[in-house]
Parts: sequence; structure tokens; C-alpha cells
Amino acid sequence: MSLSRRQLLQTALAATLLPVTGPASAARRKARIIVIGAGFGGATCAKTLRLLSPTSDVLLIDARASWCTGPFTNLALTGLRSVASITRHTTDIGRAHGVRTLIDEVTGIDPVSRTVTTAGGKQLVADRIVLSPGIAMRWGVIAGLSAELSGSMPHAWLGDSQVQSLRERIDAVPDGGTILIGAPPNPYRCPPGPYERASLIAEHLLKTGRARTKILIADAKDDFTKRPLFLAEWDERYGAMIEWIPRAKGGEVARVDTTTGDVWLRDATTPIATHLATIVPPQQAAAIAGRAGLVDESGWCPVNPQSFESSLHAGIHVLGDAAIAAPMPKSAFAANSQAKLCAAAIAAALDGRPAPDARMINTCYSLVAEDAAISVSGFYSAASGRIAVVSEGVSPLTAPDGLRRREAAQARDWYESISTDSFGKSA
Amino acid sequence: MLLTAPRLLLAMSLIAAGAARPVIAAAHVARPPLSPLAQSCQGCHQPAVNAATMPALSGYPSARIAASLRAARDQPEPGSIMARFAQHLSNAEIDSLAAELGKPGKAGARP
Repeated sequence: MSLSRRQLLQTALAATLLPVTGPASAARRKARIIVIGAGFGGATCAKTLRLLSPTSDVLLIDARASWCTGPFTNLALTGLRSVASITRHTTDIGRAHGVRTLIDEVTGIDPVSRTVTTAGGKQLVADRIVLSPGIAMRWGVIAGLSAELSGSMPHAWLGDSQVQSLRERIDAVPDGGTILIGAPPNPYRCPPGPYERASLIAEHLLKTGRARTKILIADAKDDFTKRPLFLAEWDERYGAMIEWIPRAKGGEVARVDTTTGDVWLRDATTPIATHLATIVPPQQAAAIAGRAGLVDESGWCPVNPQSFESSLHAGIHVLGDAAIAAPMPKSAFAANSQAKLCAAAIAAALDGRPAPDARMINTCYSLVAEDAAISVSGFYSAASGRIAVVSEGVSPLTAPDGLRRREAAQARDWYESISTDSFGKSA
Repeated sequence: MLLTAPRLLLAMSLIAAGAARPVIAAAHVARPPLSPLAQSCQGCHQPAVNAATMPALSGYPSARIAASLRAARDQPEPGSIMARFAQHLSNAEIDSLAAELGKPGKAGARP
């Protein structure tokens, strides 16, 4: 593959950003930085480190050679996109950003010596580690559900083969059947995700002659992001197809039987018989974060939000879903924005320059139909160890003419832009 | 981009100096790296995509970007995402972002 004009420019830029060095710094060893996780957070961090710290040696590690993006998973589930179109390949990402990649599972991190151990037998020592490992499901809360058994009630929340299998399961639900979406308690990856899923499944059912099928959302919460917007859109577009059961009305999923499809809600004596249950379990930081001593009692990683350096171990940064960064949501765009700040903070520290201004953005679109979307956006700043909201907002409840359609076009441009920014152009 | 004589000379000197590749857009080489916030703007306004609804900004004069941000802040259109972002931006912050993301030039200049 020949280098693009953009890559040539970046290489030239990197060359000219080399500091004018004297003998002392010329002799300084290259900083070794290991980035664990090649998703929106890790890939963006590796890319930005290459740009801002061109003398550093950056290695990007991911356990998976390919995976699906969380954003637009719901479109792939309902035929609006192909699964291939939302799939990314770790080695392509490395090539796009000029970063070495390693496909291997990180089995341990010694946070004091900053040694990374992999399943493939590598022991890698780093000067700085960036961990952007995503989430793990918290099994054992919903009875009858485990990692293996969830294959029969697929969450498709981890970008793996459950995306394809859930897509096929949705297509197999008969007209008049029952689909149940289990929505998890806060905090979790992608707050509007279950509700976008309900919206697009409903539209898909209508388009495929299955208007009598019911979608129940069994929620462990009493509220969710953009709730008035979703409820209004469901009412207008899908009539009585979608029923949201909040926690206060006993909506929390307590137990499942993955062989029969039965789902017991909290306090229910009889189960709901489903043709398809997609249960999104409660979540926590990915297991490697816990093994590395980077989580607190909440199961998530406390960090200094001006650099995303761990509050528990110096020299290790945690960003994206695994980090505690409220009020920023656990979203792909937030991970991308945090990664840029983290990389800038690391580069500044390595060069002895002042820390960068800690300001970050989140923008998320949710499709309520193929040609209608709503959005949430936030502008954040971090100081004194806390993240503050500079401004936050959602689409208006009463949409001016054509707004939902315009936002759907923006949603597609947004996906293309944030994916290309994070991963480079896809094939 | 045009390979003008000054750019060609710069390219040749960089090749002579052992740079990995010849420079194509020499005019942009001297710019410092973007701040994290400006980089985050590029999450949507991604130069490599230049999407219709969220175009690349480096082709627009900084003064025009600043004017757009001030309009988004002061005459917000209902439902506009940029209005939500610009809401609490000061003039100094707007000018700073615009200077980072755009190109020097008059507000009315075409991209």
C-alpha cells in the first residue's frame, strides 16, 4: 500500500517537529510507551503520541485482530449497515497511524516496574503505559446468565461475533413475537445504546412485515439519556410496539433461562416468554484493569482527569470506558477526546513542557429511525482533579422541520469522521 | 496542492537533509501541533473525510470560522449542535480555536 498524501505530510510534519537538540538530549533514550487497547481510546492515543512525541517508541497492543465498532452496531443489527462495514482491523490501524502493533492478550501489568506480560509470552517494559481496555460484563448479578450462556441472549456490546448472531436472531423473530432488551444500571458503555437498539429494531420489524411484534425494554434504571425524545419518537413512529419498563415498575431483569428464552423481572412470579432476549448486563472496567491494581471499589479506574494518569499508580494512564470520567459519558467520542488530552499530557511531561489545557468534547448521535436522529453533546474542562461541564445539551424535543432528518445525515458523517480520525481510512 | 518554486526548493532541501519523504504542503509544515481541544474538533471535522455536514476546517479562513462560532453562540439556531458547543465560549477562546483550525486570511475569502 503506498503512503497517502496525508501520511507523507504527517511524516514530514513529524520530522520538522523534532526538537533542536543539544548533545544531552540527543543522548536521551527514546521513551517507550505501550498503549493497550486499539479501540477508539487506544488507537487515538497511539496516533496522537506519534504526532506529538515523534521520538518516542509507541507500541499498540490488542488481543483481537478485528472487531466491530460500538457505534453503528445497532445499524448492523438491523440491516442498515453490513457487519463488515463496521469492522476494524488492528494491524490496519497501526499501519494508518505509523505505529507498531502487537496482536496478543495482555495478561498482567506490574504497575510499579511498568512491565506488561502477554499470553504469547512477552515481557515488555515501558516508561509509560496507556490502558484503554474497555469494559467487562459483571456476571453473577443476573441469575442464569454467564459469558457462555449470553451467546443465547446476545448483548452484542463487545463488538465480537455476537453482533452477527444477534443480527440473525432479530431476523428470525416471527410476526407477533416478543423481543426483550435488558438495559443495565449506570454506569455503562453507551448510555443511549439500548434505546437506539429498540428504535431501529422496531423500524426493521415494520419494514419486514412484522408490525405485531412487541419490544419490551426491561430497565434496571428509572431514567435514561434523552428519554423524553425517545419516548416521543417511539410514540409517533412505532405506536405501541415499544414498552419501556423502568426499575420502579419492576423492570430490572433478575433471572433468565437461556435455553427457553424465559426472563424473570424483579418480583415477578411468572417469566416473560421471549422469542429473543438481548440482555445487556451490568458492567465494570475490563479485567486487566483489576489485575493491574487500577480499579477502586466501584470496579472502574480512578484517574487525574487532566492527564488521565491513574490515581493509584503513577506512569500508567487509563482512558475511555474503563476510566472514571463522569460527567463525560462512556462513549467512543469521549474516549477519542480523552486520548488526545492524555497523549498531549504525556508528550508535555516527557519534554518538560507545561501541561496542556484540559478541555474535552463529547458528541453522540442516536438514530431513532433510518432517516431520523437525535444527539447529545458536551464540552468539559478538568481542573483540580475534577471534570466540570462547560456546556451540555440535547436535540430539542419539538424538532423544527427537517431537523431529525438533518441529524441523521450528520450521524452518518459523524461516524465516518470519528472512525477515520481514530483508525484511519477503512478499506 | 500546487508545487510552487519555493515549495520545491524547500522539498529539495529537506530531501537533501535526509527527511523520509519530500514535503508536499510546505506552507503547513511550520504550524505547531493542535491543542487537545482543537484535535477533538477534528473528531467531527475530520480533514481526511471532509464530510458534507461537518467539513474540514483547514480550508477556511480563521476569521470565517471565528465568525461562524460567534454566530452559533449569539444567534443559535434551534437544534444546532455547534450552538450548544459555542454557548459558553469566550471571544478569546473562539479566536484561539479558529486560529488553530483555519488558515490565515479574510473572513470573506473562499476556502
